[in-house]
Amino acid sequence: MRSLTVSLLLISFCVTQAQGDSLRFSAGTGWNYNVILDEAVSPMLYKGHGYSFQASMENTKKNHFGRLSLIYQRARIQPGMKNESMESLYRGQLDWICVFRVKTASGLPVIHIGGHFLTSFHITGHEQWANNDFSHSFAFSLGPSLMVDIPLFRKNENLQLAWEFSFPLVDYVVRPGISSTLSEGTIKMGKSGTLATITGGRLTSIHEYQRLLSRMHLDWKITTNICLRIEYQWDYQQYNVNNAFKSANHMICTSVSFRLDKK
Amino acid sequence: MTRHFRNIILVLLAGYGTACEKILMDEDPANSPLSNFEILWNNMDSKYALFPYKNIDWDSIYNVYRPMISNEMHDTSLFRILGGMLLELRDAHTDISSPYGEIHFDYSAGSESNFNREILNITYLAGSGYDIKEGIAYTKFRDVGYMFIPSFAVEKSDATVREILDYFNDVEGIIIDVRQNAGGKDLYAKIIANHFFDKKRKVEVRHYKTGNAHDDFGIIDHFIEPERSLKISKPTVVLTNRRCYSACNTFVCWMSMLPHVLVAGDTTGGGGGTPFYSELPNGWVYRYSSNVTFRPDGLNIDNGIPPDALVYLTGRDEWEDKDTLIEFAIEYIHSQAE
Repeated sequence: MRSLTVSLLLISFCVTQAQGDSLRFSAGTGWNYNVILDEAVSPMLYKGHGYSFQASMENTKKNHFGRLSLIYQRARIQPGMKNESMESLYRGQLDWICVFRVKTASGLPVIHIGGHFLTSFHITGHEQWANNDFSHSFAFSLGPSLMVDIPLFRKNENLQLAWEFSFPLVDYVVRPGISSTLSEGTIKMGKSGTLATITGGRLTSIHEYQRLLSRMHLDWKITTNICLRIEYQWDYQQYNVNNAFKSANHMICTSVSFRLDKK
Repeated sequence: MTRHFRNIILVLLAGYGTACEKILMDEDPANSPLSNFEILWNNMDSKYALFPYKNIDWDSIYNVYRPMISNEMHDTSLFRILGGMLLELRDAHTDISSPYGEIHFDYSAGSESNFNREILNITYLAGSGYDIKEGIAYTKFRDVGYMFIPSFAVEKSDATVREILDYFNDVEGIIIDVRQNAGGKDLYAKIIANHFFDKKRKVEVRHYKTGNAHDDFGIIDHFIEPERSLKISKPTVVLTNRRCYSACNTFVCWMSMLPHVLVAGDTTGGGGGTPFYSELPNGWVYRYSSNVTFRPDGLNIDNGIPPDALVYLTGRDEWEDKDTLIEFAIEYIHSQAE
């Protein structure tokens, strides 16, 4: 029943998005670099790089822009000290951003303001440590977003640069308990299982969870409906729930997008 | 001018992520003896779960050991002091390892071994055509099935356990010998234990840390459900000694909840808290007990599990190449069969 509800929500969202002036689907791959501090396992920063996959759907209207994007990343991270510690990092995002155009004077940056619903997860696996060989962090966030289209290349309309920034204000986060791989909700409710893990998170705000998500992309139009995109994302997250967890992620991604005109 | 302005914006946008990150992310802590000591003491203070049961004043431990630390000291001295501080907790799940070795508490020091491997081999295994699968030595003698499980660190599969228990189909009862078993993974212990469960039973109550204070705990009950088809209801004796620790201790805790199981031998070694790993800025790795486990009747299993029948290996039996515990188990199983 739960999966049916989620499916219906996703379908209705897609139908809503498909009603725009143009619809753009893109998929790509890239490289990521991470700096992670998880005080549950170490006081040290773990650093390392890996690969990323991305798929997104963008809906553009005259005064409105919406995007649903999915990013999955994997990396190997390790501390900068002499021991054999090594972690596998799995992280991902499912983000929805919806912004409205507020300034349209030609020659100046076009500003869009709106909101977002961001989700993210981090799972780290420590290969040498038997009983705490993984840690998890999930966050669902709502907050404002800003997007700026910058007409850097006025003479070449096939090249477009855009920058966007999101800053969550209301969050639902799921973190493990102190010195446990079980989620704090599981421990507080005295129950184990996936449902207890998900429902046992905490509704919170910027005092316990901070995220700065910034994206910048450059589109190069190859044909009328196909374009090549180079994207850079910087995603900083900080959980002050139980053990402090900080994650800074840099991603450079190339993708190909296909545009479907609705009019 | 406009072009310059745009280029400046571009450079600023590209560089601000890295710049913000420098502000938001802390640097690695200093790798000095003082810093390593403080990190270890503080992490133990907030995360070690057994303080309420150890009757140890961790602040006074700080006052004793902190003056011994100076930033000029050699690593070997630091290692001895940090190891000594952890030894105060008398917990074999709390230890430290470095390139200079490992310092851990010997939980069975000074106790009777209650086990003689040579007698086991000569008298009980060699003469009965035993087999070994996934680290389990098993055989049949005198209408009794016998399993010797020296470790739960070796992977155990349900198929193998099922095969061994099928082989015991025609015996009157089963002996599970976990003496000398210093632990491993609870999962492997569970793969064996759940064949002996007739119904879903509460087997342990775990207290997990929910805050930094020594007594901040949340409680979760743990259950074991029976394996699908093969359920062993024959009289079963679990043989223990003081070397039975950690996952072995947990296994004995679970098995002691069953009415058809008798635990015989000595009190187990304990080790009820799950050991968590962490590390110091100098790369040394340490572990600590991260939770506390109780049997449903309230027994804190970190101190070991007393047997239902206290049985020691006697000198006379050793002289006659007999294992007193195995002989006791055989007699018990035969008496139950009658």
